[in-house]
Formats: sequence, C-alpha cells, structure tokens
Amino acid sequence: MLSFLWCFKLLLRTSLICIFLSSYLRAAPDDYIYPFKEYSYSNYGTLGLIQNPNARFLDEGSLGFSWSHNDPYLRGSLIAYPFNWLEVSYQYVDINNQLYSPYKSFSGNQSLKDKSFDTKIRLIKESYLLPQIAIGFRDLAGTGLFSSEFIVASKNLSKGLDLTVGMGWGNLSGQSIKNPLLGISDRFETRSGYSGLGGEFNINDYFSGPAGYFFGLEYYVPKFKGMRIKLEYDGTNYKTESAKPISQDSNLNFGVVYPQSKNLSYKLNFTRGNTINFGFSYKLNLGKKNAQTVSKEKQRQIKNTDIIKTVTSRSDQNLYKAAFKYLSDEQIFLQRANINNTELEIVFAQAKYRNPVIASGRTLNILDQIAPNNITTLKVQEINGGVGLYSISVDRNTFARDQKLFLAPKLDTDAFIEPFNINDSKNYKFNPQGKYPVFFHTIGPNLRSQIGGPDGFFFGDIQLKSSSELLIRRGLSIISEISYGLYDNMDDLKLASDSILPHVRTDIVKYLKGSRNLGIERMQLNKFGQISPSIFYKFSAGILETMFSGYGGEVLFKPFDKNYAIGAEAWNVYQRNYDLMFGVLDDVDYKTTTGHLSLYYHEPRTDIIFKMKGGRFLAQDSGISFEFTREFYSGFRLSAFFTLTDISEEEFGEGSFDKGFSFFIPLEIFSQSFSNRSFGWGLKPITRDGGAVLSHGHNLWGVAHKSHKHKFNRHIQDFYD
Amino acid sequence: MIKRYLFISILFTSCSSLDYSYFADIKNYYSKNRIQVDQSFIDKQNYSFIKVSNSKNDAIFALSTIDQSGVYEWIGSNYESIKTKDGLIIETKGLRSDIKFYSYDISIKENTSSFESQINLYNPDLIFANITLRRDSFTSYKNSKGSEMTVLKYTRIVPEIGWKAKESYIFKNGVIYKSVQQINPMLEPLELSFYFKY
Repeated sequence: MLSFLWCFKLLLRTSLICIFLSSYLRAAPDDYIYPFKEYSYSNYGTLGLIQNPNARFLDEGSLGFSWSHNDPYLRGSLIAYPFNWLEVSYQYVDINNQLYSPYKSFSGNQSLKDKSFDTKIRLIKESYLLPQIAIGFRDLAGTGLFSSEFIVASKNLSKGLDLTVGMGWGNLSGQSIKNPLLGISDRFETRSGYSGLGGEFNINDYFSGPAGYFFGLEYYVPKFKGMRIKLEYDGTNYKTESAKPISQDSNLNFGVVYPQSKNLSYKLNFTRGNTINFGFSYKLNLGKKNAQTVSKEKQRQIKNTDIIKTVTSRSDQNLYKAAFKYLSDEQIFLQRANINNTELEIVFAQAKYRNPVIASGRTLNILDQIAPNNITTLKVQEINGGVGLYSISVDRNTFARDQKLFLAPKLDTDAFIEPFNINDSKNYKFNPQGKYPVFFHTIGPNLRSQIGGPDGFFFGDIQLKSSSELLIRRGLSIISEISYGLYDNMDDLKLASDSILPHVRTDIVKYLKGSRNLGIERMQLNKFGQISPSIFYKFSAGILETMFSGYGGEVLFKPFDKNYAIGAEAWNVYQRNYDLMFGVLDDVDYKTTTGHLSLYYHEPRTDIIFKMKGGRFLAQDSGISFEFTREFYSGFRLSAFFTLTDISEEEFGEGSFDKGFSFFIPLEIFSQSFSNRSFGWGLKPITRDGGAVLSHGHNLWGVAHKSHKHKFNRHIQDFYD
Repeated sequence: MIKRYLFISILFTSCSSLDYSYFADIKNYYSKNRIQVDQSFIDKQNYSFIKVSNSKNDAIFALSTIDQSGVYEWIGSNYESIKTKDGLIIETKGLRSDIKFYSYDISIKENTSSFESQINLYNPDLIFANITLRRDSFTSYKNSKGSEMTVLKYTRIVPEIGWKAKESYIFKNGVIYKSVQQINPMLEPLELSFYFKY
C-alpha cells in the first residue's frame, strides 16, 4: 500500500514537473511560430477585427497610425495607449459619396470630411477562465456620424485563435434588436443620432436606441511570419451610419493581415459582400527604456588616466583645467569649481542629456577618472539657463565600486541628492568667464500645414526657418525664430473666423497667409533667475509667440523633493499684425492682460502630472484649465486638457469649451546617441478663441521639472548608463 | 446654413508645423552607417578582422582567438562575440538575438550535400531545435586574378518553427572570403567579409 502511494506521489510530481516544463518549453517556439503577435487595427482605427472592435490593447506607451480604405470611407487614425487598460484614438474620415457642403463657392467639389474621437477601456483582464472585457465609445464628441458604444469580450481559445463577441449601440446596432438596457430605464429607448455640428459629449445618447450584436475570430497562421486571418459577423448598421445608405450584401466579412515587421502591417479584406477593403498600420512602443534601440553610446573611458592624475595632483588649477577640458569633450560645460579639502565640487551646464541622472552620472565618471587620489568626495550641481537644478555628491570609492558592478547607488546613502546649493560665484576658486555673447543658430526647411478645411483638404507651405539663441550673459538671453516662405499653395485658403469673441486664435488663416514671405515667429528676451533653491523667476519681453507681442513674467515655487509646484504668471500683450513683422494690429488694436495661478502635482506611482491653471485668458475670459499628462520612463508624454471659462456656449461657439490632446516624443528614443531634442504635436478638435493661453517660450515649469527628486528615484538605475 | 458649415470647417481645421531639425533626426535614424574597407584601412588593423553588415550598418569585429577545431572568435566594439567555422556563424553573444550550435564539429566545406545539427536561439529563446543545412549548389571558377573561387549555396531549415533561409559562402583559394547568412528569424541576414592578416 505504501509503495503504491509512493509511486502515485512520484507519478504526480513527475507529471506536474513535465506539465510545467512542457509549457515553459512551448512558450519559446511560439514566439517564432507566431511572431509579431500584437493585435491589429480594425477599419475604424482601433484594435479590432475588420469592422468590429475587440477587447484587446497594446502595451502602455504605444502609439499607432492606421490608414484604411473601405469605400466610401478613407480613414486615417492616430491611436495612443496611456495605460494598458486605455485606448484613445483620433481620426479623419473622407466620405467620398457626399460633398463637404452644397455650396460650391464655399467648398468646391471637396468630399465630406469628418473627424472623431474614440476610446476603449478595459473592464476585466483576461484570465485562464474569463475573457477580457472592455467598454468602448466611437465618435465620442464629434458630429455623431459614426457614434456608437459597445461592450466586447475577447478570449484566446488556443495559441493562434482569438474569439470576440460583443454588443453595440448606435452604428453598431446592425441587427436592431431590443435594447436590453430598457429594463433599467426608459431613457435608453430613443437615440437622437447625428448631431450635425459636433464637438460636444452627447451623454444622453450613449447606449440608447436599438442594440446589435457582433462576433468574430482572428486566427494566426502558424509558421507564416505572423500572418493572421480574420472572419467576423459585422455589427455595423449601414442604414444609419452615413447620411446616405450604404449597400450591404452580406453580414460576413473576412480578410487577412500581413505584418511586414513588428511595427508595420498590411491588410486586405472583403466587406459587406461587395467591397474590397485595404490598408496599413504602423505602431511603436515609445514608453520603455531603449524602446527603439538596443543600446546607447557608452560612457567615455579617458586614456592615460594615471598620467592625468599625476598632473592634476600637482595643483588645483591643473585639476580645474583638466575637468574643464574633459567635460567639454562630452558636451558638459564646467561653469564653476571648488576644491574644499578632499571634496571636488563643480557646477556644470549641458544640453545633451534629457535625463539628469545620466548627465550627473557621466559628469561624475569623468571627474573620477581625472581627479587625484586625495579627492575622496565628488559633488556636482547642474544649472540650466541661470536656474540651479540639483546637487549630487558621492563618496568616490563607493562610486567606483558600484560603477564596476553596475549597481544603482542607494539614494541618501551612496548618493546624496539635494536641491541646488545657491552660492555666490565669487566663492568658487575656479570661475571661468564665458565669452559672452554666445550665439547658437540653426537654419533649415520648415513645413507648415492646414488640413481639413472647406477650401481644400491640405494647405501648406515650405519655409526656410532660422532658430537662434543669443546668450548675452548667464541667465539673460534672446530666443528668435524667423521664417522665409519658399513655396505654398495657400491662394485658395480663405476661411474666415465667425467668432464673436476677440479673434485671439481663429484668425489663424490670416496669419498663415500674411506670413507667406518673411515672418518673425518669436523674438523674446528672457531673464531667468532664482531667489532660493525652490523659487524661480523669469521676465520676458518682445515677440512672445506667433499672434502676440508683449511683456510679463512668471514665478514658480517648486521644492526639489516635493511632487507639487505652484506658479504665477502675468502678461501684458498686444495682438500682432498678420504679416508677422514687428507691428501690432492697427485696425483691431487688441491688447489685454492675461495671467494665471497654476498648481502642478506629479503623482509618483502612476507618473501622471496634473496641472490646473486658473485665471484670465487671452480673450479676456476667466476660468480654469485642467491638464493630465502621463510621462513614461523614456520621457514620452501623452497629454489631454480641457478648459472651462465664464463665457457662454454661444460666445464660445461650437464645442462649448476648449479641449485637446498632445504628445511629446524625445528623439533619443530612435538614436544610439543621447539627445535633448524632442518632437511635440498637439491638436484641438475645434480652434476657438475661448480658453486660449499665451504660448511664450521657455516656461519655468518645463525648466524646473526637468530635474526633481522623484526623477532621481525613478531613474537611479540609469546612473551608470 | 452657411454658418453651420463655417462651424464644421473650423471643426475640421488643424494646423501644425515641422521644422528642419526633425528632418535631420529622421535622416540620422534612417541613414546608413557604412565602413569603407580599403587597403589603407586593412593596413591600419593590427589583427585579422571581419566586417559584419546588415541593410543599415557595418561593424568591425577583430579576431580574438582561434581554437584547435578551427573556430575563430571575433570581438566587436561593445564586446559582442561572433564565432565562425569556415565562415558559418556557430555562436553569437551580445547581438539583439543570438544563436548557438550545439556541435562545433561541422563544416560546410566538407559536407557534400546537407548536414544536421542542433541549435539554441536566444531572444526569444528556443532550446535544442534541429537544424538542417541543405547544400543547394556548388560552383567553382577562377577569377581574373587567377584565384580559385568557390561558391556554396545553402538553405537553412528549422522545421520546428517553420524557418527557412537561403545563405551563401564564398571561398577564395580555399579560405573563407565572404558569407551571407541569417542567424535568427528575428534578424535580417548578415553579410560577413573576412580579412585575414597572417
């Protein structure tokens, strides 16, 4: 009996081990058998089957672009994933069976364009038994042309098979069954539908009217380079989707998606039983460290360090000069230095590294290589445009030991991070006088575009643009942007503003056309300074942005080791002439005082930055602007904002209030070199005058938030990168 | 009605600009990093080396060791390692995805038709997969300088994951001169040019 039990236990254990090992061993071949297994986009520009959505999401920090042609629609979408559980997308749709307007004089023969905002939220994460369930909204705040809501479940049935089942409302009510939510409330009975002008959240319509169901399969063909086949029962209600009915011969759609690479996919589908549909998509994960490159440039190893140390040990001046030289080679510019017994302290400025942890780590690495052995403590402080950012000091032996082992230093034990220590420059023994003025200058082509208007879908120009910064002395600079038009197609661009508020933004067409030749986009004098380690100030005057000149300033209270900041700014501004030269508008003569109190909070666990700005806006309306930003490890940021002011909906115009989104991509994500450069892009669904803020260059939050204690906590493992 | 369409037109309108500096960064991202190997470059090298190229970049690996079985180990600037035998890459370390042949006792020169072995692939990991290197053709000729050139073409097959890849090896006077091979289905093919200094 005992031996039977022993054998049974042994068999059980062996089986469990085999099951564990077999699943482990299978996982790896599957990566080759089903490569590029990330989910693909539907024709509506969000993850899904062909027309139907699914409950899938890409990793947080992903950004995608999808283009599809499914007659009569041609749709381009931008899709972002702020979290693993949230998908947001923005799309333009060309509807080729309808005209933009019945008035030829207004929009010519241009086909109708629509833009919409979609979102999908994960409710339940997929588990062994449960499917993944999500709730979604299409055309959330647009014209309502494509508005629909859905609840959808997706379950991975086997390694290559994904099943999706869902229920939809609005344009996903293809079967027009009775709305099951009528059991809850009568409000779900009728749906008002196409709102015509758009821009508002039509909450009363959500999940109302008839409902419909949809389902489908996505099958990954094994050993076929990630190709997958899609088959679905279409839930789209083609009778209501467009102003003109669209013929549908079959509810079954099928198609194939072929991934060219991890990022690029092509698709070919047959929809409605009568239409061939094709498209492509491109997606990138931008949120992770080294998201698009394997490695970055290595830390520099200086040759003949023994000889250098012998020289630097002879006099302090030798050490200062060596530090100045070897740091300059790394584009780190020594501003001041001091030797206090066994401590070497330097203040540096740099514009190469976006991440202060890497900047300080590399500075310390250079100093460690050249400083004589009697120096036991290294202290470095960074300044940016006259503003002190942080101070970090390390025990040299600990630094060298951790560097060899690639051990991240323990904060407040191995590396002491503190606010910048304001000290008069006269107190530093080495205080090299920079050769002021210093002039930085770049020149090159610039592309401006105006898309989606009634005059034509695309207007734009190519300019030669000069961007420069003149450093007059430490903390005092002039930044300028001057452009010269080379070619444009803006003759037919004639859209005029209908706003009843001062035209602080809606005269964009006049500014675009007025600056076709020479234009000064910015010429701003700045004085930066610091009252205490936590209080920063800036005064600026001149041409502050494309549409306004003036003067003013801002103050920011930003404790280094706290996650909040409080700012105040005030500006006296004059509306600029449309030719973008030095003059102001004579006929309008618009001038105003604008200013805000701002509260910033960086939530450290999610890295969401919450910004609240209250005060008086450019069009003399008063209110509060709210902005939410998710900052990823790589520095990639996704933001959304909305502004509520004291003007009425009628005064504001369509949309009721100002809102929009933006993203910011550090360009070093794509390079093996470090770089402080970035690409930012923002969009407001409706350009109106209410809630408009002055867009002056170099705002203090941007300067001070670059380096704070949380950044060191979060990125400390990059110290030896 | 006109007002309605004015509203719509503003709804659709967006404006953006893109300046040259972005073009420069995009150019850097997509530009090719090529290394021209001429006689002066060869003369400057202290050791034998290989030039490893993919569609975008060239890299130089210097000879580190040669073992008794004829395996050459080449080391790159970031300490990546490539081991070759008669031009066939039998092990890599430090590349984005790596490969390791279980047996080094293989030779594409000596086998006349095809041969089998076992490999590991890394990132993603695939442990102990069978691999077949099937010889597709053998060509031999004398070039204009009188050197004996041999071109061997192979197909690499790993049935377990459905991977098939064409590769070629060129020998000059019996010594590996150039090869094109794919070491991992997640990587594009690598071209290896060999420069021996004796």
